[in-house]
Amino acid sequence: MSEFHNHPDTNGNVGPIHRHPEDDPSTDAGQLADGILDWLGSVDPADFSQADLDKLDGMLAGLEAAGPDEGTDPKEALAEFHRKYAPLFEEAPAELPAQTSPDILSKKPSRFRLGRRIAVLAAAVVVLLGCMATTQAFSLSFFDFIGRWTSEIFQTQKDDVPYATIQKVPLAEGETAVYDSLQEAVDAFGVTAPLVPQWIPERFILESVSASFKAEGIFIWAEYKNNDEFLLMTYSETATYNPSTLEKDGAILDVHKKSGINHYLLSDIECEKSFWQNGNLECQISGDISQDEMIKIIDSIY
Amino acid sequence: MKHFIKRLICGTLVITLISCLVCVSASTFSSLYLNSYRASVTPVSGGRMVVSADVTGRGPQEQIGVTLIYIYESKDDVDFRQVARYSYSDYPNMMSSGTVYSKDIVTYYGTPGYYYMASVYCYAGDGTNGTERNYTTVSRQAIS
Repeated sequence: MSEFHNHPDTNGNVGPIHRHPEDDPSTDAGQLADGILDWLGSVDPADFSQADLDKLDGMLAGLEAAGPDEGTDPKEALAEFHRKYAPLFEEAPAELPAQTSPDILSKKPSRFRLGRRIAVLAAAVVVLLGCMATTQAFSLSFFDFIGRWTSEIFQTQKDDVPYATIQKVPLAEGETAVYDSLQEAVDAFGVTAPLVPQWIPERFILESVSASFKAEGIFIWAEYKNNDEFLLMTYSETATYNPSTLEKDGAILDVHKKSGINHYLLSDIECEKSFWQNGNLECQISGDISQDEMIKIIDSIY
Repeated sequence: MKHFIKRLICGTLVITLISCLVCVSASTFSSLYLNSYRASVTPVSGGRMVVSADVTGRGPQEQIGVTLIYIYESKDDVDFRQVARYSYSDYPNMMSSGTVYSKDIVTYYGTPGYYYMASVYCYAGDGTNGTERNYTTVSRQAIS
């Protein structure tokens, strides 16, 4: 570290004498500036002394003499600088004009979008849980409820099977009637949608076809028999309020889709069953048949 | 911290949903006698409520129908109290024979504006061996 010498302008002390800027052979401002920069590059910052500072002041004075300031306002220059390079700054100064890029300032963190998606998913799960709890509270078969719901949706689509409805009631309330065939019974109530199977396993013989008219609505059923084996088909007008409950064992529930309707297949101790919803008719087939026979019966309806 | 809480809640809901699915599949009943069953309460004029049932068996049964009916009443469709009880021993038309039982079983004279529901015990068997299941109807409002 060099010994500190007082500046000649302070307290009359005499400091080292530096070359006067007027003695510098270069009077061009650009050359003087380059010289200053070159000198600064050669100086060791650790050894920068008062003498070096005085020399720098002298060179700057010479530069000022060679190319005087033309009256540039530092504040204006700073503002111009910020305006040119605004994207590099995190916060724009208050005096900046509104010419910054909107894209840089309007981006939102992606983690908020993920949070919203999770919230929507959680809400959907809560709604599904609520539906399940409600159907169970009303002693409904959950899959029965879903079957009805989805078949109603399918009925609205083009090329789907016609919507089955009871068009007329030829019975008095509380009356039960007998028919020669299932098709005759369905026709008697004005149902035009496909409901009646066109194929039944040959071993079964038709026992009876009946229909009852209760306060709640129409109930049609056909019984088939083969020795000790039974086959039963039922069509119940309702079911929005009180759908049927089917006995079943722990076999996996399958779905056979035909003509846009989900036919739910289940079993109960070697007894195959199927149920589906067509319009406001809840349809069931139960019997001592195989699942392949059940599917063939269902397919023959449409 | 907020994200951790959201993830915790979502994870809990997913686990709960999976558990509910398991519960649905576990709550099944099997029977050698009873095939399907359902009951209903239908309002008709004058405050009357008609209790009906459709019971089907696995083939012809010696006894098929309803063994017991409880009727419940409510003013607000929230709190119900029992107002009637019917047993097939007192009402023989509650039980029949064959593969299918489908009837209007009993008419209860209720109060218009009140709500009614029924707890119905459906049966199929031979009196000694058989299956009985309970079916609780949705509540309906009596009309004038």
